[in-house]
Amino acid sequence: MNNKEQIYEDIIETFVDKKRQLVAQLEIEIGKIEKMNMIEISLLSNKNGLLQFNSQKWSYKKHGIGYRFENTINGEIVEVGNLLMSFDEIDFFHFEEYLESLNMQDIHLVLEYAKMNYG
Amino acid sequence: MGGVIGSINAPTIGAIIGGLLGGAILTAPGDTPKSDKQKGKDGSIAAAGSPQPDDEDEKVVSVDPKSLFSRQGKNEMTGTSVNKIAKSMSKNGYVGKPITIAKLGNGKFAIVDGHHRVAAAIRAGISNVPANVVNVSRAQSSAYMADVFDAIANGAGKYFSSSRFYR
Repeated sequence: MNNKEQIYEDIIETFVDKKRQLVAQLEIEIGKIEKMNMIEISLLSNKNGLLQFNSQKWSYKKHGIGYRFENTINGEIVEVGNLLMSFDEIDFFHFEEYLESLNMQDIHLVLEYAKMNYG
Repeated sequence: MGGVIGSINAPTIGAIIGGLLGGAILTAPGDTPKSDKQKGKDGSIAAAGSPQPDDEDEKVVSVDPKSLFSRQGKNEMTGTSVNKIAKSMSKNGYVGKPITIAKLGNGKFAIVDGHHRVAAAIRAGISNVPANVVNVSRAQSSAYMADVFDAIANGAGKYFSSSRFYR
């Protein structure tokens, strides 16, 4: 693995970790998600709110059977589109949105790498 | 009475009957079904529109996105995402996995998952999107209906057809 590939791997890992950690934080508010099915998730009543994560405030809002998290300070967006999907599965549409929200350079290269290795 | 017409061949017939019944206009994708029954994933035959015991038995139908009702108000939608998906759909047709919908007590269908894809499809002028129809209990259906009312009150009409819910 060369340097660039290692950087891309780190970016992907950070995204996956953030999804996992933000949902773990969210579960404190709305209850354990792993015990729910699709219908139950879709009917969760706590649709919007604020979370404290890594000493920063993140807003969350319900999207279908997932949640969209946004850092209230820097605008970073982490969307977990489907709470029934494993965190390791990369949803490329939302991954691209995450990269864009960070104003990352070479987004197309990171995406290409992710699609090749995790698609 | 509902408007599930999962296996009628001609979309126009489905449209007419669906319209008469006041529900969503559903037609099976691929125009291949030959009767009012269709095969499940395991090869079993299920009557179109009959209740499915669980999510595993859900079936994919084609549905007019304008006939579906949102459970998300405008503030729960992300305009940039809708625009982005709509742009892609205008170019390539429907993009993404089938949406998930559930039938309500009034015979209309609420979106369970796929609000942004539905809004984008409407914006892109797409008239048929693939949808999984999930079976829900009466209590769940009532909860969805309450969500739809909330969503309409919270500006869902910006992205979806709302007024027809009351007809």
